[in-house]
Amino acid sequence: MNLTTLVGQLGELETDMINSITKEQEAKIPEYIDKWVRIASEPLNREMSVKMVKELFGDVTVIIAESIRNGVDIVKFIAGGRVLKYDSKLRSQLYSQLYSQLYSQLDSQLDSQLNSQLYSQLYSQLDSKLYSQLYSQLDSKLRSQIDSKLDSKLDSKLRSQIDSQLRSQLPKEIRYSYYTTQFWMVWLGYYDYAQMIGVKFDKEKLQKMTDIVLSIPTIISLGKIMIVVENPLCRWENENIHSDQKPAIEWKDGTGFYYLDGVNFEKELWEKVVSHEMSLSEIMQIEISDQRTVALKYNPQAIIKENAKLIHKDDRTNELYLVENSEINKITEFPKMYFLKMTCPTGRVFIEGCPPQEAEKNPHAGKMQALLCGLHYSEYMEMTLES
Amino acid sequence: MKPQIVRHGEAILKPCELPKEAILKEELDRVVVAHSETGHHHVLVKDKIDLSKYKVYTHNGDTYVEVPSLSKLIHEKTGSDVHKTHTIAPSVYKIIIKNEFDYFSGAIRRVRD
Repeated sequence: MNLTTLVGQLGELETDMINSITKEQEAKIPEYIDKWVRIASEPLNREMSVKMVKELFGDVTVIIAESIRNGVDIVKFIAGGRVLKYDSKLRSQLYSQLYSQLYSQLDSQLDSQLNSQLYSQLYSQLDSKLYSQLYSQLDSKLRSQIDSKLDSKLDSKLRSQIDSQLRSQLPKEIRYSYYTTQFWMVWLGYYDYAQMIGVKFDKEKLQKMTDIVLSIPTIISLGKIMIVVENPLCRWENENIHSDQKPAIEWKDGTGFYYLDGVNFEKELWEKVVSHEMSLSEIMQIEISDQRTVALKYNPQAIIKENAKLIHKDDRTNELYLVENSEINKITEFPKMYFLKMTCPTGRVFIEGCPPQEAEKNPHAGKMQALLCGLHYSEYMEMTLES
Repeated sequence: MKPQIVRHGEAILKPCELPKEAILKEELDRVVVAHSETGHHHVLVKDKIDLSKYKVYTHNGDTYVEVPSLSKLIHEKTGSDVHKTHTIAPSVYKIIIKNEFDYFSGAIRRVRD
């Protein structure tokens, strides 16, 4: 399509600029976010998935995987010991289809009809948990699982369905790639909302983009073999991916990923955290501070059990604690252990170890905080932008 | 708006002079100031779309960023426990990642989230 044709098509769709939305329309934003978050968990229309993949990629074999784990197992079974090498070509191909042919044209229709300030204000509200949580988590999990040294486990039915002749035709080194399209659901949600407030789109292009994104939420390519992964069920609480009962992202085959307050945990650690029986020693051994914060939230008794003594508290929610003559002292062989506890403006509580010699010299919560932040105390006290 | 020290979770931006021997590493449209294990990065983005780039320098193991125009330091996360977005004035900043003392290894380490 050349630029003249594109501009001509856009001209036919021109309407009045929308400069603002009503309070009633604004009140509907959460409804649209929730709608598309729900759609992201709906089971695939598998016939449509196969159809869309063949339309985009031609004569390929399409397999539907029940979960990311199942998809990875299929990849490894098909590879059968051959070298797997990541290839960004598929990613570019799918992105190119969605961006250059569909998204960019739909977005320019949106842009030409919405006042620019309204455009960005609405985007920041509609750019929801789908992008920052679901998409980013699934994208990183998929890559790390394919790269891991998991053995493949497939049930006999699926093994027999994957034709041995198909496998034998594969080269010694298999190039693979993958793509997750939940990010594009954010835009479909935006276009859906925009239509409600009066924006006019090219219906055919919008339907095509919807069909692609809903049919192909996650795809793994091995060249002529495409694996489409089913949607998981996602559990949310207070806008975060969260469950203290089951995997927060869970597929029907029982596999999934564990999250508390939007923070990912391996199953073993998640089980410990939700047991509410963690000790301070166990909590402080958690290296990732977001996980530690969640662990502390679920195990507030941990500090009390270690007989932690409050040494100093300042006006900036910093509290310095000393633990001595306790189990954790025996384990670490430090007779005196100093911890800085801080409540951030979000309400989360952070706990960090302080160098014992420095804390002994300066048993002052604010000075310890400044030290850990790499600042002079005067710089720390002058700091007004803190979150 | 005057440049000032900003703390965003475990990431601190401190306005400073760029050391003379600092080496330019890259020029970017956005800068991940602090990576998150959980994907919720702390990111510098420009307040308005323009052609200027952030310049990232290193010197003696420290990292500096030259902020060319008014920017925002955002937390790539949704939900109730998201670090507040801060406005960042144009300046050179030293990027400091907060430390903690790990009693189990007996060493100082960077805070990871």
